[in-house]
Amino acid sequence: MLLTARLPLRALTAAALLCLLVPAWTRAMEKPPKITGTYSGVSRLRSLGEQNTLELRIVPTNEGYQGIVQRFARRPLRPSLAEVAVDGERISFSFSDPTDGAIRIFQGRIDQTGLTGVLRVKGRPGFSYEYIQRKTGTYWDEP
Amino acid sequence: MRHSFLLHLAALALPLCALLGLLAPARPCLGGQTAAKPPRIAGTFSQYSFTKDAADLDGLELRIVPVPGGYQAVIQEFEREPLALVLADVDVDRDRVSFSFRQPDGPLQTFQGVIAGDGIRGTMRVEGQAKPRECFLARATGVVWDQPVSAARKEHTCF
Repeated sequence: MLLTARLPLRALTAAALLCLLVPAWTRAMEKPPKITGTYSGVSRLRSLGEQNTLELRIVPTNEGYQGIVQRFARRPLRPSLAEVAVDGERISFSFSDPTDGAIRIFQGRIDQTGLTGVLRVKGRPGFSYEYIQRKTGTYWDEP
Repeated sequence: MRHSFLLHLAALALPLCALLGLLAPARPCLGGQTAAKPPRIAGTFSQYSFTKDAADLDGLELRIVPVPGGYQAVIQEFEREPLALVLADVDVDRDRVSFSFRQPDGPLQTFQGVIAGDGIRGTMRVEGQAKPRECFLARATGVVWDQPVSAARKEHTCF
């Protein structure tokens, strides 16, 4: 009688333990996100004249990760080199804007689909939320 | 009456056909000589090869983008390891492109070539070297970093 009463209790405890351990285990088994690649916020559904976004390519170099950013402010601007810092899934990069010389800083997270984070201009209030999608190739690669 | 009408029609149609025959080769939409579209300048171009042990990569990747006032190139060289990105202004004269760049502390490198739909064929002249190097940078969608490494290796055979 006592044994049968204990069984469900043991099963419940085991199930609770599993619920706690499995998510932690799957998180530990997840591959770190691929950092290198091309990320673009440019949409082919709208004309370039309507878009304020950016394209980023991250490459590994003999000195760590490096980025190249082309901003689109109703027209494509001159690309800038960017220093990229990665810590797990956290990513940040900064670049000097060729139009006004302002330093723009992106801070966010990276996963298999792209970058999500905020972009702000150093020394100025305000920021914008950005989602920059991982893509194969840039806007300029397609006819 | 009907016969003379047909004669008039033929008399009108013949010069019209002759005129069309003369003009057609010059009309771009009809596939004449001026129909050759100027090549698309912007895009990604690459020439690389994996080393014999397939562990390392040699070559060059070039991305040309339009910017206010012209074109600019983003260059990454591979010398068994990926080197730092370099920016260069690109001179474009219809289908001819040229640009110069140097790696930090490296020699000046000048590329001159002709661009087409499938890529850029040209020569790379390295400061201090007598012979320019012939190269063909194939037009690509994306760079080696956009693909999983295994796919990139399959695509570009070792030599």
